[in-house]
Amino acid sequence: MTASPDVLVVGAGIIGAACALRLTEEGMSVAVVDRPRPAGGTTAAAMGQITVMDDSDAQGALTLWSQELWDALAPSLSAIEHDPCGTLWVATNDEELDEARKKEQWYAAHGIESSLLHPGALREAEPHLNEDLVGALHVPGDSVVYPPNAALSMLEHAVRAGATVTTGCEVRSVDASHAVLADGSRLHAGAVVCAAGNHTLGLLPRPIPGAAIRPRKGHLAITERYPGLLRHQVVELGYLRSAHGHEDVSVAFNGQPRTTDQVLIGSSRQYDRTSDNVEPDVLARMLARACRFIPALATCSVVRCWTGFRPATPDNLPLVGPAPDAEGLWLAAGHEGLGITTSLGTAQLITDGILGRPSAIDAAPYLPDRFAENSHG
Amino acid sequence: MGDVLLTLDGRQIHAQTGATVAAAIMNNEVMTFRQSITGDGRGPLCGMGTCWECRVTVDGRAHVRACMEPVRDGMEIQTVPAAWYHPPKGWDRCGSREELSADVVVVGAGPAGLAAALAAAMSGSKTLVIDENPTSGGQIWRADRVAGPTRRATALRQAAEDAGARFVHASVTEATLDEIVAVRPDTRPLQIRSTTIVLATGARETWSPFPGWTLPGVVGAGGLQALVKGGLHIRGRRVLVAGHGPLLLAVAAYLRRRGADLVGIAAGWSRGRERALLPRLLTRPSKLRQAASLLSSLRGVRRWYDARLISASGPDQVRTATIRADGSDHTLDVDYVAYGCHLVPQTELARGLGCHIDRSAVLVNDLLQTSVDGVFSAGEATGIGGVDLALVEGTIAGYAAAGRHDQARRHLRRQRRERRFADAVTRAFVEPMGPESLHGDTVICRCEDVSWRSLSCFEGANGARDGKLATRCGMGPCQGRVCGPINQAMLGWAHDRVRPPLQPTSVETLVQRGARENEHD
Ligand SMILES: Cc1cc2nc3c(=O)[nH]c(=O)nc-3n(C[C@H](O)[C@H](O)[C@H](O)COP(=O)(O)OP(=O)(O)OC[C@H]3O[C@@H](n4cnc5c(N)ncnc54)[C@H](O)[C@@H]3O)c2cc1C
Ligand SMILES: Cc1cc2nc3c(=O)[nH]c(=O)nc-3n(C[C@H](O)[C@H](O)[C@H](O)COP(=O)(O)OP(=O)(O)OC[C@H]3O[C@@H](n4cnc5c(N)ncnc54)[C@H](O)[C@@H]3O)c2cc1C
Repeated sequence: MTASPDVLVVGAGIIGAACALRLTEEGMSVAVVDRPRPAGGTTAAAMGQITVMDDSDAQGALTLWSQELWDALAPSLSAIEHDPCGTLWVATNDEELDEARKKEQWYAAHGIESSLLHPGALREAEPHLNEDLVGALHVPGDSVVYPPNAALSMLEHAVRAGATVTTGCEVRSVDASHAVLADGSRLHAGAVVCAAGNHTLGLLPRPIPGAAIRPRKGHLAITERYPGLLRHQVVELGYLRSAHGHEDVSVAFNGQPRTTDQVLIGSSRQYDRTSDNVEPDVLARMLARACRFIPALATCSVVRCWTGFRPATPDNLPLVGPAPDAEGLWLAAGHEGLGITTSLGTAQLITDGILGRPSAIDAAPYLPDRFAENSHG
Repeated sequence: MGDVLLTLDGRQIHAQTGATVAAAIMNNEVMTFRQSITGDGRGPLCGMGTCWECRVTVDGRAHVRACMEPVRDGMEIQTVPAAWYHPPKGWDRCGSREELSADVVVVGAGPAGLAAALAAAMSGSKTLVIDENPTSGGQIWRADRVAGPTRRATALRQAAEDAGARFVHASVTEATLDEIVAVRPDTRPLQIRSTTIVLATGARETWSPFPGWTLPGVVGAGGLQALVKGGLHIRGRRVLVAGHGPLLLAVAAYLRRRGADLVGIAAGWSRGRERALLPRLLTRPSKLRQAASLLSSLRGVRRWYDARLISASGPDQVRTATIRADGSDHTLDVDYVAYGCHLVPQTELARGLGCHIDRSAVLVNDLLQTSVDGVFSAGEATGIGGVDLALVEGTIAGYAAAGRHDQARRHLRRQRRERRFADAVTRAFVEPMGPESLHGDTVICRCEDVSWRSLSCFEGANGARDGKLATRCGMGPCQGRVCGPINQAMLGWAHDRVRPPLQPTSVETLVQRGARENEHD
């Protein structure tokens, strides 16, 4: 590790990796530290859909910008299984079809290509979907990557540009311009970016009023190889209700074709779970939901199931920007179920922030101190 | 035994009733069962359902293990993936979950499991035995599908049944302290509650990879034996037996009795170490008789010592194999290579339950209790030792699981004696695994076609997870059962974490398995 790098990045998940990449590209010296290994946290468990979400303007701005950055970066990364497969938001009834229409308008207003598919066109696009679906919104610009390799590949580029990555480094706390390791030693840097996923807030010198990151458990299952079964990422329009709902367990169908011809099936959302064990009843609900949309899945073989914990914030937006009252300490965490997508926008916001220049999008909605009474608005 | 008529890639073929799909396919001169992800032809390797290399499409259902599936009249088999996505022919919705309970559940009906079931049932415990093979006997007493089960297995099972034990045909895919979950051949899930578990899951073969080991026709040694027991015709076929471990000689003798033309045995061990076993054999007359009969079956078969298999070739299936022995290379014309590098205990269920593992085997105390209360283990799962050790361990574990410690202790002396003998056998025939024959492009993970070149940088205990995430090694349907022991030996990888289901399981089965009580159908 450089004696005192310009920036110390704590956490080598997709967020830390993206930050390290952007910062080194700007010519800064960067040191990245993580506990056991890079890309082994939530990033290793994710689905890897790069998508534009319209649930709020701020989410829309960050995801849209991030997607543009992904499209530019992806060709230079290696082994990330980038697949421009597009997304189909599928509707089970007229109410959901209305939602699809609203989505279409939102996308159009933001210059994103999308088109409504009637049932016949939907069948042609995706022959194995349930015939009772009433239509879908096709968003061709969305894509899929393999998240752990995406993070590793970004780190590799950063290292080639001079960054260092040190594993086996347990950070106990961070503060303005330094981190304290478990063995008591200190790492100094011009600035510190805390990108420790679910663990980020626990490392800070003092709490940020109103800010919180709650681990939100998700289950996934992957099938054997079934060439031709699925071509697009298929998401049910009820998905956002699940993502924003506050039920104890919510399940929404999300099916993803992998470049290996496997189908990755998601997903569930649960708060307040400490064990990362696969829960048979949750898995069963999730898979039953998947069969409701793709009946042929019923006889397919599942080769593996696993879980991951999304770092969720109270308003579903990440915490990106300077930590209040600790000059030189930056946060980049709390990306819930969108961190793979928003990693690149996040890295750009952090880089712009550290260099003291404005970003292409308004940074205010993501600032960590936004929850305080009479904050920026 | 009669004939059944089936179709293989659209052409009509005959097979013997009782044969496996794998035997039926190979008896029709088809050796390539599937294309690997990089387009390599692949055929059966393990013969016992662990490697998933022999998967084919059966009646529209993809990824069926041909070595485990019996032939049925009218069956349609495809070695090339076809339009499968309509509900497969004859497919019925998988039935809802079946629930059973017992005092003692024994997983595995090999010698150890059978002995455990007998002891537990005789002690008055309500005993349930689960095995994924339709007939009991495990590996050594694997039933000949065409000729019928072996006498000893039948007798032991009968005795256990007479004492009240119940046998269930299902694959265990999940075990917690509260319940064991298994899948019936018709894909229906089975949930079993019990207070005590005996893991008698046996062992599987392991292989040190070499260039050409993925060619169809290069088969496990025990694997080829299992395939022949499943109905594969071996008479007149040229077989090279190679590798190390005591199983090789038993397999060679078996194949020769079934009419195979043994081109030789390329033994990895030395003549001196083999001879050193003799004094110990002289103290055990029954084993001496077995050894003598083995050697007489192998009379006249060419044997090389300190030999190593260095390559196998042939464009589509193995045609020649090259061994290095006596300081030179010998290339032999073959139809099959029966290759094995000894056995590794099957510990997936034990690890899933949190049992400690010591040097690849389930760690047990003198009464064969694992580090987890209420979980016992016996036979090869606790360390490779052969059938006699498996039997006595099964008896001890069965009594101990039923709470009859006094009865269990009576067998401890015999166990020690068998263990000493087993250790001597290991010293005689087992070699450490080494990477000598590896080339950079030799495939290590056969499910995902991951080469030695891309793995060799992931050294050490963390390699398992790092290497897996970066290369997909071990992420295929065998779940690292083939490449795991290789990477542990060559790269020092630790065991990776096990998560249910322990083997590929259909979506619908998982739906039924996790359905809450009131949600059945
Ligand atoms: C089931 C599931 C599906 C998902 N699907 C998608 C998707 O399709 N698209 C998408 O965009 N997003 C998806 N996500 C979300 C995405 O995975 C996360 O938002 C993202 O991975 C978060 O990255 P991170 O770098 O913040 O966290 P992590 O990947 O968890 O990285 C944090 C790192 O910090 C390290 N660390 C923590 N504490 C310390 C410490 N004290 N000292 C040193 N190091 C430390 C950890 O070891 C870890 O490597 C999904 C998530 C889940 C669970
Ligand atoms: C392929 C092979 C061939 C062999 N041939 C010989 C031979 O010819 N001569 C010889 O002396 N030794 C042979 N052995 C060695 C053999 O392991 C022992 O001699 C003896 O069979 C060990 O008995 P066991 O009861 O410990 O295990 P096994 O006989 O292996 O019995 C284990 C049983 O557990 C079952 N099982 C495992 N996991 C599950 C699960 N998850 N769900 C349901 N059932 C499960 C298996 O189907 C099997 O029937 C062979 C070993 C192998 C692997």
